[in-house]
Amino acid sequence: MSRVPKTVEAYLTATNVDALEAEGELLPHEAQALEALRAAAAAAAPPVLSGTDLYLQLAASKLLSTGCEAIDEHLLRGGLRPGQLVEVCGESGELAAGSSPQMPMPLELQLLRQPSHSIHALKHARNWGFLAVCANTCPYGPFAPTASGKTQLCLTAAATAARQAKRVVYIDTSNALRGKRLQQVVESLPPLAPQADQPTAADPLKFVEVRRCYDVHSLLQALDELLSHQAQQVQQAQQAQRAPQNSGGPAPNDQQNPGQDVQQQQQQQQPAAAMTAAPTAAGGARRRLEDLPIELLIIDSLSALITPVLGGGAGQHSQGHALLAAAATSLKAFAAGPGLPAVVVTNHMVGGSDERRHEKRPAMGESWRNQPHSRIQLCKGPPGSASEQQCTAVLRASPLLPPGISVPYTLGTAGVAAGPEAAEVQPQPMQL
Amino acid sequence: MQVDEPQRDALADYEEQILQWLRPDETAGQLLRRTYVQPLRTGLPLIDRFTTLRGGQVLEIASAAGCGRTTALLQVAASCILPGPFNGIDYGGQAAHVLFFDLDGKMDVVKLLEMLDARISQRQTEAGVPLEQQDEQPAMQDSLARFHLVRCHSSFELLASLRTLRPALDALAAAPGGLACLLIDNVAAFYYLDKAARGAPAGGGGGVFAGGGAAEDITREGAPLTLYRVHAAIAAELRAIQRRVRVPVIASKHVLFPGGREAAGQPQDPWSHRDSMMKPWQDLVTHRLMLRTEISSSSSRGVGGRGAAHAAAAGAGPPVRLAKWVLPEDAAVVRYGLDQDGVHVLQVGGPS
Repeated sequence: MSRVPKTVEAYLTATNVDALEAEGELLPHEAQALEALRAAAAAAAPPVLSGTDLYLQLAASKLLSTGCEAIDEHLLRGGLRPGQLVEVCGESGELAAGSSPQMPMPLELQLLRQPSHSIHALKHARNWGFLAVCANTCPYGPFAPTASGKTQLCLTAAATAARQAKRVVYIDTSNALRGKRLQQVVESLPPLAPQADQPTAADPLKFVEVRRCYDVHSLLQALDELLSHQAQQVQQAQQAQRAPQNSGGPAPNDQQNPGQDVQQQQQQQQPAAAMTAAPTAAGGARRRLEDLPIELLIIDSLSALITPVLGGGAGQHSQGHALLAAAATSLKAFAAGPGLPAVVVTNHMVGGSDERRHEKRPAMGESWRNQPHSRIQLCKGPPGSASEQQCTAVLRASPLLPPGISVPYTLGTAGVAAGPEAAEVQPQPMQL
Repeated sequence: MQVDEPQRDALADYEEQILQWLRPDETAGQLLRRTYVQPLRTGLPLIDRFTTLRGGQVLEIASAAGCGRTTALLQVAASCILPGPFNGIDYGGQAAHVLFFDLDGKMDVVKLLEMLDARISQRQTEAGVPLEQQDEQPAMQDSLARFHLVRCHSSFELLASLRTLRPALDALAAAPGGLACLLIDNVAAFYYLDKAARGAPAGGGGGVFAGGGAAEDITREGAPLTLYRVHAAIAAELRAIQRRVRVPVIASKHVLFPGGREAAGQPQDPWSHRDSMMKPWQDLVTHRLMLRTEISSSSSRGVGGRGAAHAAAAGAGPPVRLAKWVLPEDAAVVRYGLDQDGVHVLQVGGPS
């Protein structure tokens, strides 16, 4: 039996290596093996950053706007911080009994009055083509009475970042993203004042890359691809600059569901990251989109993928917590990588009912509560009541601010915007 | 005569040896100077008013989410890295190095900068420097140079860095100011990931918990990092580090299985919880501090964080934050508050 461990994991967990090294009576091949193991462990170890490095990193990073100045200023202290994971939770769209929707509802929501937790099932059913009829009923996105606007906030953030020529990756799990809606948001945003150091994109939709993941494993695979892409970019940055080429562009990296209809496919191709021969406004050396670092990652409805696998009981879902932990660690590893992207994740609410609204809590449970850096909850008044149009965003957790600060916001064609009274109303804490 | 000479020389030798052995090696002062390790002044009144930490001791701060663990660790780091007398003003720090293992990924540089900034400007104001002349940058840059951060995204990376950092730790300990402490944020960060790993395939008794056995089992090819092996290895590495460099370790732990459950119906000790760390780690820990947050209204169901934070939507009262020393056992429950400057003690109460 060899005394020297054979794998790096065994080397790290072995109890006899210290004694071996101290003895000094190793055969040459054993000494070589130990040396190789030590080098492999040193290569796998993360670097030690000093406070000065962190300070310089912070000084060089720029805050990303969510598109809503009220949320940016009061809840996020300026915007989405690069390297941090922000969770946006809020209620999903639900058809309350007896309410008359002001916007035309998609046909499937009218046909099947389901409780809110199966909205995700409905959306998944739409993916598989069963309810493919209604895809075009409401091209501007359904504004269901209780939907608090999480997807709208994601769209606004993506549109704001794309307008500044920043690369955005949007992972859509419930087919809530439509190219036309994103185009509408981009056009409705207030015009950008041109700044010297900020390039403006002529065609912002090119900078948004859409991926569709319908189960947690494909999400993990997509995150792994993003991580390896990040590592590749670091390697490429260390090599010499390649000459800019007018390449045809590879096909977008979408997780395509074979059951989708053609129309939805075409809608996907529009915002996808295809590099065509259209000239860009920036001029100078045109870079391929794949060479740009990813600056914003949005996962719309991570909870839609995770909640089916979480939960007690025997059977195939005993690994639910491990999958959740793996997703969270991959997201934070991606956020902490070079380039420091900002990550936004949405979550829905569970528990309680229409009458006991205050008992609703975010999905994904206690083990997720610890993971994000900041948590924002979007609240909308119950439908049919006096406070229906009042939307407030509440800060639930933050490393810098005390929880409970709330600001009003509105939903409109430009996505999420600051509330009308934002100028007069100071952000008030909901509790002392 | 000639027979006595060598005997007399041998006797003289022996006498010399005995006298040598009887002479004292060093005085008590020399012994203390050689082995005395400064106790750690953590700057956290929750800890300092109760006990002092010395090298070789391990403090575990356990709580549910949102109780201020990371803030507490950053407060300790800020107290250690601040300089003592610097540019004529005394900042009250220890000017020592600190190594922070960030397993959760939640270490916020801005929070650390704000804490340092607040303390530095407070000391400058106390020293009589007028507000417009206050310059925090030199002291801040001096402090930041002593803060070291390691971000690990898996147990494998953590073990690799603990193993690889031994010479770096020696260098830090030898630097002026020395190494004050090791801070680990959330040792239970990879609990579910490690638990999902399966044990060694053949032999070895199978299962997750049988892995800590014989040494041959571990050197078998392809041994994965199971939960027990990871915790055993972390405990062994920390012990080896503490033998080389006498530093205390302060680790925070996220309580994954809070004790109070609403459905049980019977009164349970709110401070009890099922520990997610294995025995080797539990044997290493010498001090335990538990933190808890409660909502002070009647609509709170259960404790341990599940109903607590989300009942806030009902407009319930401000959260009540409690702390209790579990090891060494102390009946007093301390109320504390969280604000910009970190954790501060509000009131020390009786047993609850």
